[in-house]
Amino acid sequence: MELQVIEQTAAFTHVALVGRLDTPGVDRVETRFNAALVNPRRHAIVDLSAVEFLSSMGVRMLLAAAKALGRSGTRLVLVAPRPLVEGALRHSAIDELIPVRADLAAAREACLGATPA
Amino acid sequence: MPGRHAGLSDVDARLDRTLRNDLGELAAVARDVRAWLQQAGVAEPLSHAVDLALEELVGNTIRYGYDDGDVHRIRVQLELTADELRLTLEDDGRPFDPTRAPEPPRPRSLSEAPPGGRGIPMVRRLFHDMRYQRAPGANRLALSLPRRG
Repeated sequence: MELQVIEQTAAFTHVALVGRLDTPGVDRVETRFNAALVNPRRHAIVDLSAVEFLSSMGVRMLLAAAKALGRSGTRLVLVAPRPLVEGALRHSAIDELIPVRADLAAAREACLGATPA
Repeated sequence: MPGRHAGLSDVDARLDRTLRNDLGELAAVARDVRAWLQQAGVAEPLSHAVDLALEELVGNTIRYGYDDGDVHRIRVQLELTADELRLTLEDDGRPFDPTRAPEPPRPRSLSEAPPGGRGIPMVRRLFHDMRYQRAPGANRLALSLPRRG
């Protein structure tokens, strides 16, 4: 599991996760993921297009970051999951709590629905 | 007979692995299982379901299934027939029936969402059939999926 920081602007941090978001993957990436994303002034966009597998440990990591951002009025949005990962988001009901969008433009739009504190 | 794990004569291929109650060993066995399923030509959604079951169910057994610090053995068996994929998990941990584990309540908001408790429901939604049996001193869970459709 790798974390790639794609872009950081005044309003957004855009990262991509690459590989398996399972227990070993979360162990490897979680500290850097939180350090990169959990910021009280920026929304977070997480590209999942290169994530091959998502388990409940991965869901827990995404949810914890979304909750931390939500407390400061910013938002985490997930982008472009593969079909099996999208299924895992649906089966864990996480898609009811964290916006999931097909592309970056839609993700930015979803972020702008939230007002930073 | 779908979901019964009954006769053996209809089995085209079988994988039988035993691992210790160690997450590192689970990751290695899960890699072997993925490679075996790929070589057997099993469709990706089925392979994904098995992968998730190992991570969630065997992972739970390793984390929460034992009251002592001893080494225990967990058996993972896979069988392929023309019609079905069968996965059987056996361990000597505390009695635990994942088919009866309660669904977590649906949170009304992000802030109310509990951090965990989603693994078993995720597995239950993928497998068509899931049967638990408590044998003397052992948990036995049999899961199955149709190979097609």
